[in-house]
Amino acid sequence: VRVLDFTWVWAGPFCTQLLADLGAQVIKVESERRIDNTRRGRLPNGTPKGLNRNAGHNQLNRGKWSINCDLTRPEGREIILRLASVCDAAVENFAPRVLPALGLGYAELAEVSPQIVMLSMSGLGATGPLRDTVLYGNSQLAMAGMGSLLGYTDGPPENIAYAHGDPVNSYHAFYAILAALWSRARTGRGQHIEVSQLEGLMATMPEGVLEVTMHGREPVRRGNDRPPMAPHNEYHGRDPGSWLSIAVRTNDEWDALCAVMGWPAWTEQPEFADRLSRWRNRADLDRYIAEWVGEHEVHTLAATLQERGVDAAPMETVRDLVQDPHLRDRDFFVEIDHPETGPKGAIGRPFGLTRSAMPPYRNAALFGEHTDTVLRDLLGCADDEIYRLRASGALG
Amino acid sequence: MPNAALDGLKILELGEDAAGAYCAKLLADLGAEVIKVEQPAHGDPARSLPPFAGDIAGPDRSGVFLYLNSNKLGITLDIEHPSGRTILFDLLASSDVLIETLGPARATALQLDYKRLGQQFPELVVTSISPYGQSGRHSNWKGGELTIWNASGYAVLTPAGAHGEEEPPLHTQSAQVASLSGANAAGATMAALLDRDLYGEGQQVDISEQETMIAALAPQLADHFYEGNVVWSRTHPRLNTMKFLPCKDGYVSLLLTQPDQWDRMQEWMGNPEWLSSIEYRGTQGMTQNWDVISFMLSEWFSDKNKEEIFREGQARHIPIGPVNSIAEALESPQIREREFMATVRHPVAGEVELPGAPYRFSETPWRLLRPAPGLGEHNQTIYQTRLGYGREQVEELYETGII
Repeated sequence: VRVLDFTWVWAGPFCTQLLADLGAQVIKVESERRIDNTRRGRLPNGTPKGLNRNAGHNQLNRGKWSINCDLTRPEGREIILRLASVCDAAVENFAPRVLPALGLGYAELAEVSPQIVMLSMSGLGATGPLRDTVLYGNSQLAMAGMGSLLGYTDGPPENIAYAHGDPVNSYHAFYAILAALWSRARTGRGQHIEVSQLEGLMATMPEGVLEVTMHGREPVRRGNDRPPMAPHNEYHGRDPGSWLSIAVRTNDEWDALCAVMGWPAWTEQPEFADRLSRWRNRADLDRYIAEWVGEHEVHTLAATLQERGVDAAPMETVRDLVQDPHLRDRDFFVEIDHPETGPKGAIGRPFGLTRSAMPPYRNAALFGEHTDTVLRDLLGCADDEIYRLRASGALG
Repeated sequence: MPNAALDGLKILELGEDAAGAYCAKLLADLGAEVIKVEQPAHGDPARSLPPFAGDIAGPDRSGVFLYLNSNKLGITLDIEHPSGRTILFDLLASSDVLIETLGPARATALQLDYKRLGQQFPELVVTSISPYGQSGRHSNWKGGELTIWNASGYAVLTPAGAHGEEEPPLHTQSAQVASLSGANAAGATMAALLDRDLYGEGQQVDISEQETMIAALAPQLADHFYEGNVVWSRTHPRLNTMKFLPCKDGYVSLLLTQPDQWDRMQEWMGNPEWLSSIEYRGTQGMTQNWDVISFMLSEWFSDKNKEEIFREGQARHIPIGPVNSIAEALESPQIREREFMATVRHPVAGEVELPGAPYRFSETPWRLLRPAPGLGEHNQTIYQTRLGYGREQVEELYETGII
């Protein structure tokens, strides 16, 4: 599978990263005129300046090819159309007007490549009165109403300090494009898929949405409560800044939790005798449990609880995660060599396929690294043609 | 009417994790035939999740269950019982995919581990979704929305901004872990099916919810590998810059990452004096001075409504948006004009308005063909018509509680 990749920043590149992780040949189109912002992202102190050294960029673009091609020049457009004719799929996350205005929308790509599957991602969708809205993923989730669900009881709405809307969109797009490719293998027909990040977010929050559509009630913010589970909360551990989450659903899990705590006298009180009582008296319950957790190291305690069948997990920081023995067992973190940064750690693919040989991890391409290779090997351009194209500025 | 994208694909869904239900829903919505297998006694625990139609709890009244299981067929089958497993194997013989969330230990105990299934059904794709994946020392740990949020590193970023070490991290009150893991699993399942069609062999797809969520955070976590000292802690000052800002009638969400965005913001505010006296352009200046900046911005927003701020800001190409309630989000002209929401008519729950699909296919659009099944609603269809069991045999299965 070969993918023509116009994506940049985050949501788009993560989607095509997942495709590259599976072994697709992803050809990312870049140009001097439009450099992926992440290439210009923050660099560690003392690092020489350059377009190939940003951590986030190199993570999201590993294993892809990079060509330089200026879409605004006629020669550049011509190259893209020729490439489209040898690609199975195309992915883009421009503002909805951009590619059609350049004569590179789905209609034009499908003309030269009738079987192509093209996927367009945008913040609020390619149609509708607000389609030109400019927002990052952290504000998308505010628009979707997710911020209004998040907050302490009786407190203001809270945000996630992260463009969480982006990966929500990426995973949905990853599935959509493979489903369309599977369909194409059966029917021989390509198509255009349009993905809106706002709609994707709303698809992931049915509880809140249904509360409104079924009852016209706005859900209340309630910290970490999740009726009827109790205990269901975060508890501060012995060490500064450490937290342990515990979620108890069944009576067996409650008994197991009590056993780990050593059946202190308070657990025998009638207020905590059954699920409903525990839910009603969760404020007292939380106080007792917080006191107990506060005496323990959270990683050790999580392991003890899980051994007894209680759902518990510490709040992990990235430093914890890279040392996590379980993730090491699974070889989840990998090391990828790179000509400019040297070998660096990276986060592995989020899926395992037992039989298919997964391609080895390759570094993110240097800016424009594969321009000549792609023109020569995929489009059959001779050296003098490449020379002419470069002179015209189309490869800038 | 165009064909559905996944027309002809036959899928069996087993297990009680919402990630599996969401994965199977995504496949069913694009036209795959999904048979949901539930335990005869209680069915899927999601049947007891609020909100309920008419505010009355009941197995066919849960809105969340209706959402996650529309377009599916439903049968009951006791997979703990040896005869139940024999029937399951009959069903697997004519399936392309099994989606299961049993966890490796339970799957092995039930003799439903991939070692056995792969031998018996070499062309079957088995998609196994579990909190921590199929291998490794935590592979049989329990996990859910709250705990995987913690175990993936997300909790550090929630809520945005320091509330002090004494305030706990917050969960989103929505099924982020199940949704992202389900979508990831659906994508990987399609990849395995494309591969099977080429090479004639199935395989197991191993989806860890923890890893799905870590990968979603990857660009943020990647800093760690380049600058070992950058550890996102809850009190990192940069997290403050993503907090919502109060305005006259609520809150707005603003993030300025480019110098020209600040220029336009400054112009919008009438080039106030305070802005020229501090360094705010660039991440570092903005982070260091965020207390002052956020205070002054809030003051300037304090006599403006969020819709007005949204409109005026967007007219200046400033990435600012309203913090909507769910009702406001649903009433947004964007959601309404694009007809995102879909209505399903259910015999017990009545008419229910559900979120639609997160993508639009030009040739093979998603369709809402049938409401979520009642417990065992399609037993007859599947056991008699599909598997060809006789009526007496099916009655006996009912009597023995196997279905």
